[in-house]
This record gives sequence, structure tokens and C-alpha cells, in this order.
Amino acid sequence: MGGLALAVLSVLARAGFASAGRIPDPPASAQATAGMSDEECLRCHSDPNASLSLPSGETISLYSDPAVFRRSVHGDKLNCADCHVRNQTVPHPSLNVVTARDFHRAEYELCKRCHFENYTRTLDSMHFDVVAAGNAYAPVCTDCHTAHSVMRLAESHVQIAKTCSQCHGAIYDDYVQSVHGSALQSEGNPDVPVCTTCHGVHNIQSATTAAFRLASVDMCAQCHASKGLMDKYGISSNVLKTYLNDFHGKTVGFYQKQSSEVWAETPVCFDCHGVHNITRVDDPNSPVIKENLLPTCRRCHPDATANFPSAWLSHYEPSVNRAPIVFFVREYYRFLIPVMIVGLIMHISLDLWRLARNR
Amino acid sequence: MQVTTEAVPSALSAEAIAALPDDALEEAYVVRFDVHQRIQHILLISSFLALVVTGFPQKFPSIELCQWLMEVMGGIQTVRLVHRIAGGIMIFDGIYHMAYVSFTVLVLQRTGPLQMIPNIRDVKDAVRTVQYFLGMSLRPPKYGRFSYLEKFDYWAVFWGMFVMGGSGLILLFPVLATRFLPGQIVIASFRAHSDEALLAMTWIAVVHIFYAHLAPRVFPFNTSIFSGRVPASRYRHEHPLEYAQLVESGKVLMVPADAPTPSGPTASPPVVVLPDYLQAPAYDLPEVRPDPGAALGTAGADGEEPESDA
Repeated sequence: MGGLALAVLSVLARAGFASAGRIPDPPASAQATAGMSDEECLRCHSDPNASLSLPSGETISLYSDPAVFRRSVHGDKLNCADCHVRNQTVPHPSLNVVTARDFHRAEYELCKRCHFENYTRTLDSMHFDVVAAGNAYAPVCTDCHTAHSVMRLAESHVQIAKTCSQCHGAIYDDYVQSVHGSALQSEGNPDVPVCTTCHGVHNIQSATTAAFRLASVDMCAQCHASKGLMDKYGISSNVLKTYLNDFHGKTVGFYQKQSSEVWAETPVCFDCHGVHNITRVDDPNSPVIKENLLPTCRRCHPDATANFPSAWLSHYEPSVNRAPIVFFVREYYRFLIPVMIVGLIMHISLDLWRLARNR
Repeated sequence: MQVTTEAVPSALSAEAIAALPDDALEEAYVVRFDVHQRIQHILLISSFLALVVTGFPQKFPSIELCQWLMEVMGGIQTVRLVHRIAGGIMIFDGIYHMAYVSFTVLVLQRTGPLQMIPNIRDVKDAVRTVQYFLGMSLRPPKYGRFSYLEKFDYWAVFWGMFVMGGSGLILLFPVLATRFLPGQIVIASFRAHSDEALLAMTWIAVVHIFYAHLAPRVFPFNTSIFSGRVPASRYRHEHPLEYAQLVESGKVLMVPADAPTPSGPTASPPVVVLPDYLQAPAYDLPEVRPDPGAALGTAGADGEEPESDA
């Protein structure tokens, strides 16, 4: 009976890995599954009550709805035995697991027979780090992709966010309120980032490292420095440039170039704008709207006074109206530097010319 | 000043000294800078160089050399620390200079430093110099203690110190600054600090290096700011008015080349040391009278105020 369970869940697991673009042909061993046809499998596994008790006392269902599987991305490609290679004999080989989770974690390894590339990526992910640290509940392939009803997640942004929300519920709640998440929810906007846009897919990295923090600036810029995309929404695409030209951005720019890893105390985009709960900059709750800017500044500059926030031009280029002092200082040097340099060089050249003539 | 011409009979009359050919003045010198001025300049050079080396890579981070420099110096944090320390030294140097000038003028009642103040004559000198360069006049104008270019050099640095020091402090303490000033001033300081630095660097790299070192008259290296001395043969051409005044007022002191020369706070008035072959009489240097300025060491050691006791 255990072997049967293994077989079912292997299919689940195998099926679960759909996002690698090209699905390779079923392996040779799978094609030669003369021993076990789907009909044979379903003789037992189409019983909705088929289940297996594990030593932990948990019970896992051995039922598989063939219709669900056929609708999945693997439905027209694979048969049960293509994934569940171990269970080609009846009775199936016995299982050596204690808990249901042990079982799932053992079975998801089946995915890598076809999806090796993405499987190895997950080994570099922070989810795997959590596994390595002893947390059995960190996600494996089938947790996100399901085992038998695998769909192309890349085609459904809404589904991606929902998938992550299974574990990251609080963050999801923030996200759906945000300018990005609400656009996704309400209109299915394909331009807004979903979880994987920023965090990556299979090799998801921790978002609390110095490296992630420094790289986050360019991550936001992927969209926010793209003129075509920003023009569509009437947003400035100059934000990265103006940020990098200002004190905060300058420092972050240096840290990015540096070979040694430094935790940037300097704010990056999400320190002021918010992370998952990011709002429109004209939203009354936005931490960067003029009325709310001082408290935002004070998070790092606790003694800041009312004048302080205007030391930041809110991503604007200085102009006569917006920052006259800055504008005139800039124009002053724009005029002075070339005039001085030309004047000095002329003075020296004339001096040398006279000297040469006098000889 | 501490040395009187009566106490030290000159071997030659003022007229005779003025008439000496350049060759005869080859080993003679005029003391132009006193020990304080020399210290001020050393502090200025060292802090300036440190500021350029640590500041330039901050202004031009995309240049590969700058990235390399930044990496070699230990990253932005170290670079900024060094930059701030060097900035502190430069500000101290500026205060030192202001105190020195104030003390000399207000307490010692010497007007020498006031000669640095630009006047209409400097404008005329500048015009006449350019006319001379262009061949519109046969001779360059005669400069006094400070030529128009030297005044420009001084005031450029003077103004630059205010801009750089002020904007640097605002950038270092933006929260404090915006307690009294509009927030914009911080961004303006950022801009000014960066651009003024470029201007200062260009000025030093082009004008100062050229006129202090590369110009044929002084090539390859003008040591006077370190030794305090300028060869008399050059001085009489660079600062003819002052030189004539020195000779005229009998402050040109002639001593043998091998005599121990006064230095530091007790330095004599502008000194021309004439070589032996001019048959200067052998004599000991006179006793130096205690000078009210000796404590500060400004006692005209640089000959900055030749008229003050004339």
C-alpha cells in the first residue's frame, strides 16, 4: 500500500515542476513502461477513499483524479509511471518515511529527472537554506506547483502571488493593498511586479542580505527607469538617475562597486517608499508625500527639523521654481568653471608665447 | 625690525646693491615667508592632496582609475573618513592663518598682510601684463610684494576654503544645518562642494603648478615656500618694486654666505646674502633684540611689512 502511495505522490511531484520552458521527452525508462499502464494504476488510485497511514499517525490520500491530471500541463505528455518509476510493480516497494512531510520531501526529488536545471536552482535558494537549517516545511517543488494539477505559473501573475501567499500570508495582505498588488488584483495588470519579479523564481535569495539591499535599487529601476513603461502611467523614469545623483544614491553607488560586502545604512528605494505595502506617491498614506516626509526622514535622522526634508528634492531636477538656490549654484559653476579654465590656459599660453618671442 | 642697518653696516650702498648684476646675486636670497607661513603652506598642501585623492574618486566614480583608487584605499567608508580628517586639518589651517593675519595686523600693528588686498593697480597690472604678452608694450609692469596673479591665487584659495569648509561641514551635519537654514542649502552645498573642488583642483593643477614650478623662471621646482627664501636674482625681477624698496630702506642685509643665517621667529628682515667674491666684510651677525612678535614668530621674518618700521 505504501508503494502505491509513493507512486501517486511521485506523479504529483513530477507534475509539479512545470515552469521550465521546454519539457524534455519522457525519459527512456518512462517510455518503456510496459509493466504499468495508467489503467492499472487507476484501478486502485481512482478510489477517493484510498489512503495510507503513516507511522506518525497521519493519513495521506492515495486518490488521484485522472481528469485533473489530464488538464494539467503534463496531462498530454506523461503517464503515471513516467514519474512514479519506483512503483511499477505491485505491491509497490515499501516506504521508509515517518511523517507525511517526510514523504512529500522524498517524492519531490522525482521532478529533477526532467527539471534538473530548476531543481539545482532551488538548491541555491534561501528556501533550501531553511531546509538545510532543519525546517522540513520550507517549500519544495510540489508545494508551489502542486503535484498533479500543475499549471504554467508564469502565465498567471495572480496565481503566482496567491501561491506565495500560502506561506507568506501577512506579506500578501500588504501587497494586495499596495499600488502594485491592487492593480494586479483589480485589473490583472501585467506590468506590475509580482513576488517573483523582485525575488526571483527558483533561486530565491534572502531579501535581508547586504547584497540584496544594494541590488534592490537596480531591481526597482528595471521598471522605474524604463521610459516606455513609466510614460504609460505618467510616472517619471528619472528616479534612478536623480537618486544616484543625490547623497543617498551616491553612497549606495559606491557600495555597489565595492568588492567587499557592506551593509548600506544609506536608504534604498524601499526604505522610504515602503516594501510590500508601497503606495502611490500621491496617496495620503504614502510615507514620501510631503506631509509625511519628516517622520520618514526621522527614522534615520531622529533630530531632523521641519526644514530638513527639503534637503531632498524628491527626485526632481533643481530648477528656478523648485530649488532656486541649488539651481543658481549649479548655473554659477557651469559658467565659472569653463570661463576660469579657458582664461587660465590663455594666460599661461600668452605668457609662454611672449617668452618664446623674446628669445 | 630686530636688525638695524646701523648695527650692521652694509658692505655696499643701496645704489650699489640695486645696480648689482643678476650673476652677482646668484647665491643671494630674500626671505619671503616666515615659519608660520611655511607651516601653513605645508598643512595646506598635505590636506589638499589628501582631499583630492579621497575626493576625486567620489566625484567621478565611473572612472576606472577612481574605482581602483577607491578599492586600494579601503572603500568609500575609509575614504570618507580620511577625507573628513583632511578637511578638518584644512579648516584648522584656515583658522591658523586667520589668527596669524589678525594678530600681525591688529596686535603687532603691522600692515604687511594688508598688501594682499586687491586694488585698482592690480587691474591695471593685469591689463598691462596682457598687453606685454601681446607685444603691445615692451616691458611687463613692475609688481610689488604680491603681483595681481599672486593675489588672485591667494584669494581664490581663501574663498575656496570658505566654500569648501562651509559646504563640507553642512554636508557632514545636515540635520544641524537645517535647524537654521533652508533644506535646499544642503543640496546646494553638495553641488558647490563638488564643483568648487573641481575648480580648485584645476586651478592648482594648471595655474599654481605652472607659475610655481613649470614656468621657465622657476623650473623645475620653486622651493621658496618651504625654505622661505627666494634667490635675489629672481626676486628683483618678480617683485621689482618691493625689492627696490627693500634696498632703498636699507633693509637688505648683506652677510657672508657662510655665516649662520637667522631663521624662524627671530629671522632678520628681508635678507640678501651676498657671496664672498663681492668682498662683503666679514662680521658676526648682530644680536637680535627681543621682538614683541617673537612669541607668535611673526616678527617680520618674512619681510612682509617692510614699511612698518621703515
